[in-house]
Amino acid sequence: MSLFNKKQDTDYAYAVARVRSNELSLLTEADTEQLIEAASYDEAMQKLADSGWGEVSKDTDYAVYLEDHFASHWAFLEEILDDVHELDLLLIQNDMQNLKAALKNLLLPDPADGVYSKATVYDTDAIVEAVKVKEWGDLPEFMQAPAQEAYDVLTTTSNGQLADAIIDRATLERILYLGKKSGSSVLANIAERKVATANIKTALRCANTGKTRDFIDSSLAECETLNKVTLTDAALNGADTVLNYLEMTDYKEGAEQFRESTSKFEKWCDDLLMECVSEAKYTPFGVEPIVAYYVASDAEVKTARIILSAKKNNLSKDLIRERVRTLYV
Amino acid sequence: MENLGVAFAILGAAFAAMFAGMGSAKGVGTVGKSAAGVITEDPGKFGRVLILEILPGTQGLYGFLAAFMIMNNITVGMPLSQGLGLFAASLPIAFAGLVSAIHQGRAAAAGCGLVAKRPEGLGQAIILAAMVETYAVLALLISILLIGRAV
Repeated sequence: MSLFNKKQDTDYAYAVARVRSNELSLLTEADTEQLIEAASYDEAMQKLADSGWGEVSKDTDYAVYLEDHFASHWAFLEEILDDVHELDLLLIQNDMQNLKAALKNLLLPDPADGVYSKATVYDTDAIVEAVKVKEWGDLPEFMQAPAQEAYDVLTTTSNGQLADAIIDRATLERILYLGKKSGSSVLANIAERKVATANIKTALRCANTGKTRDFIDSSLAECETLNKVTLTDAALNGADTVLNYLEMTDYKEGAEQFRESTSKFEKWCDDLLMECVSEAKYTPFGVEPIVAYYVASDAEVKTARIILSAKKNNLSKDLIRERVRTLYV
Repeated sequence: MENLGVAFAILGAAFAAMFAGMGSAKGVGTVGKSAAGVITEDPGKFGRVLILEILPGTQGLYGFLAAFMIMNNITVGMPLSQGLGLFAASLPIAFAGLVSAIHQGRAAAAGCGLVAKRPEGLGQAIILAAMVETYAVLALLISILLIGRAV
């Protein structure tokens, strides 16, 4: 039966064709350059509006504007995919962020609304409700143990950082699992790079803040391209030791970028993901071009946010160019 | 037993029409999905993607032609050797038609993606997909020659 149930790459032909048409409306390097060259924040916003991102006015909040733009990409993907679980690998972190927010809201005297991400795999209301009534069994299976563990940490020690670390590690482990389960080398590579870069960021943060071995161990996830024990030992000895270790791995360039500036390192992390999906430009069928479109949309919005934020704060054009992400088209 | 030759010849005609037709159905279906995606976003490209969708349909026609030629050569009480010859003659277009139509469908569907992004690339998309047709044409030619030799 599995032979007949297995999805073939040509089953995505319709969705991929729509994605190819929509790729024409994504920001290009030339568009980005025009935005950087804009004389003011208002002019940059107007250029985005002229590119079909939606009307703007003097009162338009760029954060909301960009969020709405990304929501339109998400709505498009929901429309073309029979099953959005195909994108679990990329979206699961939004679900886990929502879980984190729901857990923290439990302990707040005045819970905040509107903190939940919309682009999710699972029903956010159901997750929030399960957390509210502490019915961990109502959560998706992989969320149950980390949710309960994080809740126990929050209620017994009030250590929000450790609770976050527990959820983050569960997220990374789930991403790796989904990457391997997908059967796609592109998706497995994305999962590995996402987890590795998250581990590097965590290790550097822990090294700079002097975290304990137990905390670092709770935060890092096992992956194939980094040795968790070596990374943990390096993080205990400081950021330089972490960078020295990275120089012996596939992430040598990341270490070089971090030594130059943290913003260059952040850009390198995002560009690494883009590099993983860029071959999907030449893939005619399968889920890979759709995944690539999601990553491209995310990079587009991130780039627009960097430019608009920089324009608002009158940063130099060279500084903006240093930070803008590599785009898909 | 005396009608075994006829039975093999009929089986050959059925193979030619069936397998080449199955390949075309699969190929045209694949391009159809891609074409529908392109038209959803830009209805103005209907004419362009229609040309690509037609391409993998030819193998079905070749199979039909070979089947028709085999049927025309069936005679009551034909010897087994003649029936087997007609059956063998059907195989090139049956199987080359099946496989080439499926792969031409994939090439043409990929061409739809090209047209979606660069409408002026239609000619290139057609040429790339039409290259697969060569092998269906060669198979049809061999099938026709073999039918001629079998009777």
